[in-house]
Amino acid sequence: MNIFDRLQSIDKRILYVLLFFAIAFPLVNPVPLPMAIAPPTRAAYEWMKSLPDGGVLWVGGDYSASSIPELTPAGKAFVRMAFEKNMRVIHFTMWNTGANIMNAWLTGVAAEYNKQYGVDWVDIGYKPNATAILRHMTSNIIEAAGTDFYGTPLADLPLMQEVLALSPEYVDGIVELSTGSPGSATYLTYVVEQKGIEMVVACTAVSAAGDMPYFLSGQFKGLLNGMAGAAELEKLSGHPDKASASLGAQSFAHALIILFIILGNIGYIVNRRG
Amino acid sequence: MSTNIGHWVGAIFSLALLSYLFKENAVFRLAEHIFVGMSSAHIVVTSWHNYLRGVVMEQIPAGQYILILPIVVGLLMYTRYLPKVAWVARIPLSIWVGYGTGYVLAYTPKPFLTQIRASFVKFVATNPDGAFWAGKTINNVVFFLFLVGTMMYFFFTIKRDNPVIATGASIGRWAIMIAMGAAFGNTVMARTSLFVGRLNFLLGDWLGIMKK
Repeated sequence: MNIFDRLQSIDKRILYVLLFFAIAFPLVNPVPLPMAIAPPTRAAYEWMKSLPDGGVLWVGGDYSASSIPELTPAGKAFVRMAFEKNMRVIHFTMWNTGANIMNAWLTGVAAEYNKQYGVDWVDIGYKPNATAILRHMTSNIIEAAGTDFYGTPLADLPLMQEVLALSPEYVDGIVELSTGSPGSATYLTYVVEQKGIEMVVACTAVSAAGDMPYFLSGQFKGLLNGMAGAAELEKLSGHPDKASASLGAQSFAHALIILFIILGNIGYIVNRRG
Repeated sequence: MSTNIGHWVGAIFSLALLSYLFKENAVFRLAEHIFVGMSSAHIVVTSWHNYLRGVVMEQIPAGQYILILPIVVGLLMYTRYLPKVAWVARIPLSIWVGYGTGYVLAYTPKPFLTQIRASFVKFVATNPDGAFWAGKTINNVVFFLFLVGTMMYFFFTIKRDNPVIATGASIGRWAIMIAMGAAFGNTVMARTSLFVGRLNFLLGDWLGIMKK
């Protein structure tokens, strides 16, 4: 077996070990790398800035534990921007595993800004039967959802006495943290297109190719592509956090993968000619 | 190193699942089975506490007896375990399919039509000042060629010996390959992000060796 044969049959466990070091090294010893801002991220940032001070932001946290590295930093950056504009925040998730994840970081971010639960923010939590509940909330949130994350009747919360429906009369914009279905397409179909509320989306990188046409058509006002998009928003909003800190590691990992793709292809081309 | 028991449990299970990268093993399978069991239990508990409890324990006793009807219809699904009346399970299933189909047909055309409208792009684009915008013009022309080409690629009822169809389908094939390349690149980025997230947890939250 010559070297070109070996290039095509490297034990994948060697690649895993190299990938581990390629990611671990820059995490332990951060390497500052330049970051360009993608137009869809800038659009999302400008859209957030354009929302009225003191308005209401609806946050859809539709993801599970596997998407935390990509979507939680994006969600935190959006909510921090909202609280800095004194906006009230309402969260609802269509993913049963999303409820605890979202509540944990929302509670932390609200504490950073001394925001009072029930007045400045509300966590409706998870409700099953996503499309029916979401559609019902466009006319009556309390009737559709009933209680919040903690089991408190929504009717008892001052913010929900003011925000009666998921409609432009009460909600100024939607930030959807989407990892699949139900997710961004559900909001687009049953809320955005029907009620005319504007929405920006932070999606996992896997979903980005599918979500991009909706940004290009103007149906999404902005789009954050995975951890890179989250890091870009962290930079624009002046709140560097985990996504920014992790982007160097991701760049090193990508460089390693590209290197192995090139080596594998060199081996393939040379062997084919020989 | 963390003294939080939650971090330790998370770290041990993360390492157990990552051990699959070396080879299939009993520790990986144990962690996998625990995860599946806990996920199922989580769905049942959250569905009960977030919705069903309110309906069964509060709304129905408060006089909303109409809610009993969908519960009874839903329970009919379980008649499939009784061979003599298994056919009854078709009733809730047919209601479910009919409701779902109607719901989708009622709401999905609108976003789809918006997508079609957005595909009508100007071949000669101008910037907000009214001046010619070369970059946008090129983008729009490429977009148009790829859109029409991709649609031609899926003309399965017309032979490809027509030069117009053959050229269009060829452009479409390239467009599809480029789109798939972009999607695959994004998928690699997503999977790398997951691993970065796990190492963030293992090296930072658990071992505490990451610089703040």
